[in-house]
Amino acid sequence: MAKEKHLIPVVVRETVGTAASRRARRQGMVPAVVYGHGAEPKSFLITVKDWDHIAKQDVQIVQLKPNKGAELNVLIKDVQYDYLKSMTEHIDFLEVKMDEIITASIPIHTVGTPIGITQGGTLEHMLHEIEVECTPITLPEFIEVNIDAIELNGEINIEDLKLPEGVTATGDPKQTVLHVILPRVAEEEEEDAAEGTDAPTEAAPAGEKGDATSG
Amino acid sequence: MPLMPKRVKHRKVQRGSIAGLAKKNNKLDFGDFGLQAMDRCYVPNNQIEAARVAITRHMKRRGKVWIRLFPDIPITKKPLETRMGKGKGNTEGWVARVKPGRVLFEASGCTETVAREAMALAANKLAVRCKFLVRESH
Repeated sequence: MAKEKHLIPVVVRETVGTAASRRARRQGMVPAVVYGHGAEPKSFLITVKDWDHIAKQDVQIVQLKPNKGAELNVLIKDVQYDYLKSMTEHIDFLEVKMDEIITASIPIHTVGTPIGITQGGTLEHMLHEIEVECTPITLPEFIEVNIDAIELNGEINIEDLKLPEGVTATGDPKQTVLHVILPRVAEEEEEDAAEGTDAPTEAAPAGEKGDATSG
Repeated sequence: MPLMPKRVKHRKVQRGSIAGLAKKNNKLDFGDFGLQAMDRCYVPNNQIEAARVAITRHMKRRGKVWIRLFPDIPITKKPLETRMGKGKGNTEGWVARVKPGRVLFEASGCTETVAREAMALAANKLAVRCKFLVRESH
């Protein structure tokens, strides 16, 4: 949970726009923008090597060190990823003051194996990350949850998470983070039901995430 | 019962296009592992069902599977040896339009090895080039 400073050297962009961004990507750089506090957005370039080093870790707050100007404390707000070429296309940073309250999503890491699994249950993650409010200084990189004690049909809610001091979860306290449940037997075709070997299947819920329609 | 809509607004639709990349449904949202399309194509309902059966049988009740696509586009075909004209053919099947980057299936509650094998079996059933996905925190 202890945080170390992540310093990224960045270069101020002289040229902006699509063509300049593509040229920069070909030269092994990732375009980035810093905005926040009503100031003019600033455009930077980060080397792929520096970014990959940061991207492999659960880092939320980084320090940008431009070749011109003062250092900036920023929150990684959004990362655009090209999944066909497996490369980062663009990064959005939000400039933060170290004493202001910010909202950020932090991942949940689990430790151990629930008792419920030995009783025939399956561990199901309902939330992989939660939204918290705190200052950048107190913002944890991840939240660790010990799941050894979860029995069958047991669950851990947001209110059960041990958050560091000064950090509050913004979501519904009763919302389930993870639970251990018996695998549901799905309605199968006759031949599958006779064999009885199929795992439960679920159509992704319709809506923003699991949109049933293509398009 | 094949995968198809319960009711539709229009019985027959024009082909349209599958332009661009998947702007949504292109990340893992539910499970720890997934199968992502790398090409654009129509995936018929029988292929989706075959892929689902391949995944669930390989996982042997050890987890959960999500189907992230639904065949909601009717495909029509004119009968053989029929002269042109006389209107559009009858509905022959249902397909899902898939753009590059679309996550087709997700799974959780099993080891990465089992998931990878299951998704490889499923990818063989689909008429689209696919990539295996793993959640970073897994």
